[in-house]
Amino acid sequence: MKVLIVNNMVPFSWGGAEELAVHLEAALIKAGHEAEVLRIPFQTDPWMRIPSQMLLVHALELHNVDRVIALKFPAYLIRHPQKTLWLLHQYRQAYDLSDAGMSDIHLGKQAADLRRVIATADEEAFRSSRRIFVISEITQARLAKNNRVDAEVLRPPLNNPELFGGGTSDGYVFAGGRINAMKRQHLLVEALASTPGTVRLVIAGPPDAPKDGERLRRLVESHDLSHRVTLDLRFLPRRELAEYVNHATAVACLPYDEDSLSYVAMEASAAGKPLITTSDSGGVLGLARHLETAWVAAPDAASLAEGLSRLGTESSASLRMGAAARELWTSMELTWPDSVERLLA
Amino acid sequence: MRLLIFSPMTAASAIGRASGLVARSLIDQGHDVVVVRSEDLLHLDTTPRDLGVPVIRWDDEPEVQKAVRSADAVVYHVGDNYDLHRGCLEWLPRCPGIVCLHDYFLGDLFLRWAHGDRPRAISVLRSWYGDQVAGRYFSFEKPAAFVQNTAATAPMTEWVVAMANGVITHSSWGIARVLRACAGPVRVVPLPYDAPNVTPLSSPSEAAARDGLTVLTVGHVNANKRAESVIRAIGESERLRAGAVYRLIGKVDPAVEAQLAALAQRLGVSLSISGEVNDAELREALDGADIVCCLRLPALEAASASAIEAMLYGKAVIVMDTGFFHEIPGEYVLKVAPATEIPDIRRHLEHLQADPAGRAALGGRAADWAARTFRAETYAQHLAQLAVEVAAAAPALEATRYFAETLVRWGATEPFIPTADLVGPLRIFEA
Repeated sequence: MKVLIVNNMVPFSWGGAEELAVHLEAALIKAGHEAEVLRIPFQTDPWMRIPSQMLLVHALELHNVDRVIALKFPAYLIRHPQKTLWLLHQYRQAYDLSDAGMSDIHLGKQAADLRRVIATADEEAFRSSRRIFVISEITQARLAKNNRVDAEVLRPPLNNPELFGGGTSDGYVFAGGRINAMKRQHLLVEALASTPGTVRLVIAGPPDAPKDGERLRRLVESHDLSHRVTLDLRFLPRRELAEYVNHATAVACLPYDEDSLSYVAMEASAAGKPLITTSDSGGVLGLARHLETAWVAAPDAASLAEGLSRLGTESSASLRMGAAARELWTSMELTWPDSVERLLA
Repeated sequence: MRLLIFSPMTAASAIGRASGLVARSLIDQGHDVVVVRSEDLLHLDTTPRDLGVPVIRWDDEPEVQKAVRSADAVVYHVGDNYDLHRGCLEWLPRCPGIVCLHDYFLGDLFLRWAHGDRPRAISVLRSWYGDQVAGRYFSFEKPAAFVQNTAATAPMTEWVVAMANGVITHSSWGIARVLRACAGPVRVVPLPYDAPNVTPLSSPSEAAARDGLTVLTVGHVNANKRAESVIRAIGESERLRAGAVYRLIGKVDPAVEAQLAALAQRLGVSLSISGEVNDAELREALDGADIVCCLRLPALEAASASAIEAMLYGKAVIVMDTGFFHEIPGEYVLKVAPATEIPDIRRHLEHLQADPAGRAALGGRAADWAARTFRAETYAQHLAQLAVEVAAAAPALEATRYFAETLVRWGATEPFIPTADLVGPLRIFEA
């Protein structure tokens, strides 16, 4: 079967969605199919440029393709009679983030028009899809609330699980992944300022924009934490990333209202590392159970500081929670062959 | 080139006469022409003008489909009359082509079309003119109030030309709405018209020697034609009352006829109302007229066939200084300002009454200019060129239409669509 995976593209930006697409491609090929990834450029700023990009995706014509698996908005607006969606998330700025005032698209008539256009286009795409999978219960619930669509949950497997075998602690808390305000690495730095001097932090990953990296650097300097915080702000090859995870004492992961388990939490759990997260981190809480596999703090620096203090240095508690995290992850039995089978069923 | 032309063909239609002239010129220039009659069903059985080309009824679906498939260009003559142009509205959305736009006000056409699907009509009104205009559009009971209240705010020009791939219209005064709504090329070309056997039945000197002065207005007698103002102007002048006859030719409602007759009687004006006449009678009436009044308020037409015809006949013509008439150079007609309408009409009539030689000279200049300007050959050349341009622009137009329809289906409203952020990135077909 010829399967085309359709995903967005932000030039020179690489994250979880891109990883999912290439690993799905590899899994499809391994299962005996022909597979390719079509990446469609998409920029969200300024937001009035979104409709033209939606139209251009919708105007594309696909030939010589048996199946389409589309992952994100607006890539999933592409037309194909055998289209399956595996939604990482909708364009939340037009839905719940707008309602929460966390999106630019919430003021004025044009914003209202854009939200309606996105919602209507979404629903048209959902109606024309043969099956709709989502990566988490949270996305499933949002889809039901926003668009009255019943979707099936299909959690993405871990990519390169062989790299995340765990290892001895080098005495730092690791925070990996893209750097931006929504991932709240800045909160960790602020919390670290209130912890004992023995706790160290490694933040590694590509900033979404230069200002995101600059903000972190300034924060570290202003709290005089340069000797305790390592900022490795770049795109890391998988092996380097895995090294950081495998030798951490704990892994911090506190995105705001994350849709999925999050790759950071999955990799940490696979490596047997306890998690530090916040109570509003959404899907991460599927792996982070307070005092069992993780420290689940309130989303403020003081509460996080306690978590960093408890799990920032190796202890019997951190080892126990790390082992429990690995056990929980293993029990979920998420594999690529199963995922491919469900997506093509 | 093979052109399929939708047009009324009944003898009573001035647009049919103009489109017939164009069709003949197109044939003379080596093109093939097939005509689709566009009249409403009740009027399709009338005898069509004989153009010597195949004529199909718009409701003959298989034949029209066949003709569309074999045509290089489809042309629609559209004016503000549902009885004459229904077939254009039936086919234009399905088969976009060139619209020859004869009126900038298409409210009556839209009103009749809206009878069939009021919710859709309201949606059209909303998308072009907003909720407020749509809310009150159907609230005017009298035709004059409807025209007065909608001509400026919701003339429905955009509704028709947005369905077109290109537009030819006949003056520039309403062109902004056309350019706003039609994605394809737009041209302004003078309306072709003729004066059959234009050699006057009577010479200017004979006309000047006639007793009395005949003032003529041609066309559907309604408030827009300003007959009442002409009667009042004559009534104010002792010389005009004594020496002028005002003649009205065209369809007239009995109530309007009675009202005008009563007014004329009260003011001592000699009034003759002839109703509808055939071509020969019209020619005779034009020949017998000394002055033709082509007054319109508000301006609705892209061009006035009766004004052009009167000029071609060498008549002194008085026009309202609005719309199409405003664009006629001042040396060929006398113009009336809307704000001083009756005094201006009186002044012009008295002047023309007192100066038969000047009247004849004005008519002569107008006839010469009109014969050079309102030519079917020129129109046919422009139409053929536009057809080539439209064919070249077709992919971009189809893309534009596809994008716009998709956006509207997704719930976008009109103010949202033409923003630079949206349109700019989609200009992928521009050279």
